[in-house]
Amino acid sequence: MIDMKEKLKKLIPTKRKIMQLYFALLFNANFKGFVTGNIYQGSTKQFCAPGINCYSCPGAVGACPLGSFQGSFSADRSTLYYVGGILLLYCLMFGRMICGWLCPFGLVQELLHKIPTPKVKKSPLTRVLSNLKYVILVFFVLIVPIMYAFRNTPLPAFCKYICPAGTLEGGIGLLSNAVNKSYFSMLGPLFTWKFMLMVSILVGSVFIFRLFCRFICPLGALYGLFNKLSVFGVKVEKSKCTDCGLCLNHCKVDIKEVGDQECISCGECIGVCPTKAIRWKGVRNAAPKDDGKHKKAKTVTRIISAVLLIGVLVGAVVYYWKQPDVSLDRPADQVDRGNEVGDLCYSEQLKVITPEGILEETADPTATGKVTVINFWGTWCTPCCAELPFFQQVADEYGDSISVFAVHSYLLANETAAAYIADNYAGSSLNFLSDYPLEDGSTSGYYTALGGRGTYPYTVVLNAEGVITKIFVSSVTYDMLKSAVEDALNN
Amino acid sequence: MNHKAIKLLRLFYGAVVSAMTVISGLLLTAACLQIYRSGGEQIYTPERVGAAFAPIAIPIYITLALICGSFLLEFFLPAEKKRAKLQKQYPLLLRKAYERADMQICNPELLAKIQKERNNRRFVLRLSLVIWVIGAAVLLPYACNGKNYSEELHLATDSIVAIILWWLLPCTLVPTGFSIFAAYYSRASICRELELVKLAPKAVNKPAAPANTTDRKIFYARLAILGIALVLIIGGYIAGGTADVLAKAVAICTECVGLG
Repeated sequence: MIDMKEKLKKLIPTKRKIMQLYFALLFNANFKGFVTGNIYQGSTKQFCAPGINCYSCPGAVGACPLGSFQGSFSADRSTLYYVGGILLLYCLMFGRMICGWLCPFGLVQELLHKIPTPKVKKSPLTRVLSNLKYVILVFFVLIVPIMYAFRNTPLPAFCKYICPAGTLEGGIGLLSNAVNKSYFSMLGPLFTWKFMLMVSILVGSVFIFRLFCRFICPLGALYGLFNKLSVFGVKVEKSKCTDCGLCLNHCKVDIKEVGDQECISCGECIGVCPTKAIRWKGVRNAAPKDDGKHKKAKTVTRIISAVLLIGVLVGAVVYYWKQPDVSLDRPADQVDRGNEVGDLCYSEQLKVITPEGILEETADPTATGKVTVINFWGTWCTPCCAELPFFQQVADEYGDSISVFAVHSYLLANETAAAYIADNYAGSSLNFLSDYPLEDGSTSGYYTALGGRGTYPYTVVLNAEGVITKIFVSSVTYDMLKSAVEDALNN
Repeated sequence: MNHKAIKLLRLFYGAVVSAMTVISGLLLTAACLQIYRSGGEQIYTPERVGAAFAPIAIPIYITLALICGSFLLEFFLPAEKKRAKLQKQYPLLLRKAYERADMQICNPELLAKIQKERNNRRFVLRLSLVIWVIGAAVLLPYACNGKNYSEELHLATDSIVAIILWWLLPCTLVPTGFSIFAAYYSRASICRELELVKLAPKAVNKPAAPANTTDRKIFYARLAILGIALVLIIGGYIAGGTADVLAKAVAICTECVGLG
């Protein structure tokens, strides 16, 4: 019986595991997103969560600091200040303690490592490989995004080519919902590469403790640089340390000493140290008092903390569950129209953008009486900017027989669009329009009315009667666009 | 069941679970590649994905069942508790050995041997650092030259892959390879030095190490960083820096999630 009790005791998760799970749920509190297949589009996404948690995950309620940081180079300077400041604050307060306690992808890897198989232990080899994350930080997070930022084009190279958290939480998270069936149309070589990389990292995590965090994660590399300065974390009192090396033996990551740049401050070494030389930074480390009064106070504190934490989580889940689903908003005054292939397309008067700015003059892209291509784009969206020349090419090739509209998303002030058009499309045959915000200011109105679910670029092709003949939920090539226009002309 | 039998069973089961996990990973990768290689205007469709993944469903389910089984095995037939074999932390042992030894009265021949060992190790480690610096010096001017990145955005991936293959990989793999050699050499060298230091005479009364005076510096550094961070956040927030973060976060970043 005692044996069974001990076994069951082993199953109780540690405080750290509970906190990891708690924060994974809190950062993904939009449970409704997993049901509806839509991502959360509310204002809390202007704040960066501390760990790697893809903002394209249907449950995510905050922005990914790494994605935002890479994007900030090509945005307004204030964005770089804001995101850089947040990252600096996280570095200063917690350092890599975030990896050990708050990062949802760290939790995934640790759970996979629990599978009882032979494990690869740390060695001089793994210690050297742990330096690779700095190469990734410099090349994929700094150099490539900055190089493309000089061309006013955001290119989040780490997110695009490596991040397995994005593929798992965002990619698989969205594709696994039947509502997002149309997303399959945009999958290609990039998805194949990232899926293979994700599978390799997840399988590798079964055998190697926190494979991604130790060798690849640039966010961990950045946080690690501030580990010695961070307010919270673990530290060694040199005066008490006997250099027995038990902490290094017990640790699963490639530290040379407790609290160095590789240490994720999991705190497991604290219990191992025979001289109690390792302690938490930033908290009082008073010796435990075993008298009844203190025990009672400790229990009461624990209960209050647990109730508060659970209250915050439940409150967050309820709050996000009650948020209206913007993608379901459709114009009520156009009952005979729709946003699917075969429907007469919803119409709208949108303001015209010229290189000089946004005009008061409006245009309805569905009322041209010609085959019409409506492309939703944004200056902040790399694939959108990359495919605009194809629209230009098609517009030039077909001349007056078709109309091509490029509707700029309202997600950022449309003034950025005017400057972009002045630089790249002055005198172009494309018709640039400006989308409008929904009532809550969260997203673009016409884009949402035409069935946009948060994915850019988004293109709708109409025939001469204004009936939708093709929808592209992804980037298009010149051939794809030409073929859709030909179909619409023959329809 | 005796301990030996349990140990054997666990070993066998662990090997099977490991093999099946790796096989499942390979099967998932192969299925994905198979879809990609089938080509066509639309590579991935729910039907194609279903057709490619259906045949591997059984091995994947078997792997999942085996993993569940391994947790049950862990619960009902836990491994025999034995003290984990401690790995020797040679740098710590060396530090301790130096604390115990009195190098002032050490025999000059031994001292020369120790010095030689240390110099060799330092040379290898410094050489490793120099190779990293050379790698960076070769890579950075090329990687930081905007002309090497395609102007055409749809060709950006090709230019980045070319830089990775021809510049980043060689400039990283060569220093990494040498660092691995240096790390193993360094460990062996520390072992040799440890053996030599152990031969030195023991110290009688060694002066204590000076007290740590870095706490105050850390405090001021924290204060400075906190100030900078708060100024950046508040300044960025007031100037509207949140708009771009929000824009990127509320539109599905197809690049970020690999949907492309």
